[in-house]
Amino acid sequence: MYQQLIKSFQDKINVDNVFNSLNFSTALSSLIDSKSPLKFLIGKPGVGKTFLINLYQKNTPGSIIIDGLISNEEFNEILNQQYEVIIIDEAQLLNIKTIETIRILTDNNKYQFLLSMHLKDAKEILEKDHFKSREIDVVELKEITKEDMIKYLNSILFLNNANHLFSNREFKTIYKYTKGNFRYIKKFLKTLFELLDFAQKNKLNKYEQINKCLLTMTAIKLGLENE
Amino acid sequence: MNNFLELENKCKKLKRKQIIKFIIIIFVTITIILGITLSLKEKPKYKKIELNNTKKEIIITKKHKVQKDNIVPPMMEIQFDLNKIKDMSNIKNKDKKEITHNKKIENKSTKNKSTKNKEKNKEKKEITHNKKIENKQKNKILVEQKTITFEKALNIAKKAFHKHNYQKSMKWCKIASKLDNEKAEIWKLYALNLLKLNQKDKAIIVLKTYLKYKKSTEIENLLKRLEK
Repeated sequence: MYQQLIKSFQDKINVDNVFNSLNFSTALSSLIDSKSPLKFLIGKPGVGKTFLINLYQKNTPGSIIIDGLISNEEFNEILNQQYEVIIIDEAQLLNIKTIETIRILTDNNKYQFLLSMHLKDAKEILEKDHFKSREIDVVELKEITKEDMIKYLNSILFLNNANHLFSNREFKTIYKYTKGNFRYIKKFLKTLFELLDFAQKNKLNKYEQINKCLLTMTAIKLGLENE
Repeated sequence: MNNFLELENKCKKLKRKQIIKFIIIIFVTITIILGITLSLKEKPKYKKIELNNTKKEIIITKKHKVQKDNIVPPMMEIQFDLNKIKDMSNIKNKDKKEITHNKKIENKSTKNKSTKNKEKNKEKKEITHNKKIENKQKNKILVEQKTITFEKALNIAKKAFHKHNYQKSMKWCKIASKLDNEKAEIWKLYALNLLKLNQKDKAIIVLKTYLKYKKSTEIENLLKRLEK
């Protein structure tokens, strides 16, 4: 029963299955509307930046997603191809040379760059003089609210006929541990269903249903609860 | 999933820890609350104030003795307050009694703390309460003294006398006497106030006490008239 649910909460990006939270839709629309040659998408790790840039790429023709670990040569090769929008995930990993070329290219208005990076690193980069003097659009993606998390979970649970498994109290506990971080929410649910699956297979009657102890066990396993 | 049991144990440990924490927090808060309430009830400062007051009164009485030796009229507050004049010796004895009483209480407390604590506290509270009231009155007068001169006090006393407000007049006579207790005028006015209040005997005593220390024809004449 739980195998399907475990699969649903695996950390995979599936752009076809979009959950429209308020944070997501506003961030996406502001990225699409922005005509600045240099855009920054910032946020804490696990808030859904990669998912959002994938969604942005799907909505933007002539765009490509590259990784921040790309070498300068590889980057030059991509520039030679006919892409208008270049999206760089984990842009904090870019080397200085590549950053410098991006800076120069933005002056020509030939390309549009979207750099997705962690909040801390972005603050450091944006404070550098050559970025300070430029027009840069910064979009910050924040953690989802409790209500959005419940909607998101319900939408997935509904697809698997598992709405009855959670009460509002349990959703609250999940939010307390995950703090609206998408990655943690997925991980939490996946681990929880793994534990439930194990309990069911081994006929541990006490843990056949979701209870407080199971939620705490999940949190301990993920390191979200101090022992 | 081999660590399911391990996780279960950790969860139980965590629960236990949380319960212990909760109990500790409750215990600490209760002890703090109890401590505060008990400290408020005990109020050990009362003792000190009480002892200080008794000491102060002893010092005052000693000062009066010195004044008598120097042949200076006594403070009107003490002389005019006839209840005090009569009970002057009693007050001294009371002070001594209070001191000895306190000492006795202290001695007793070391012996029979558990049985007589309540009684002691009651007695102490009563004594301190009375003394507090006395001190307040004294302090009021002292405050008034700081802001007023002898002439002003005398004028107020006179005006009050003319308006037939004899109690007020007597009060201001006391204040004026504190500023200058050698002037016969104020003693005379005080005696007249007593006369108006049908306290002729007290008026005679007041005038006689003044004449013990100072000579004044005015006072002598008034005294003669009253004695007739």
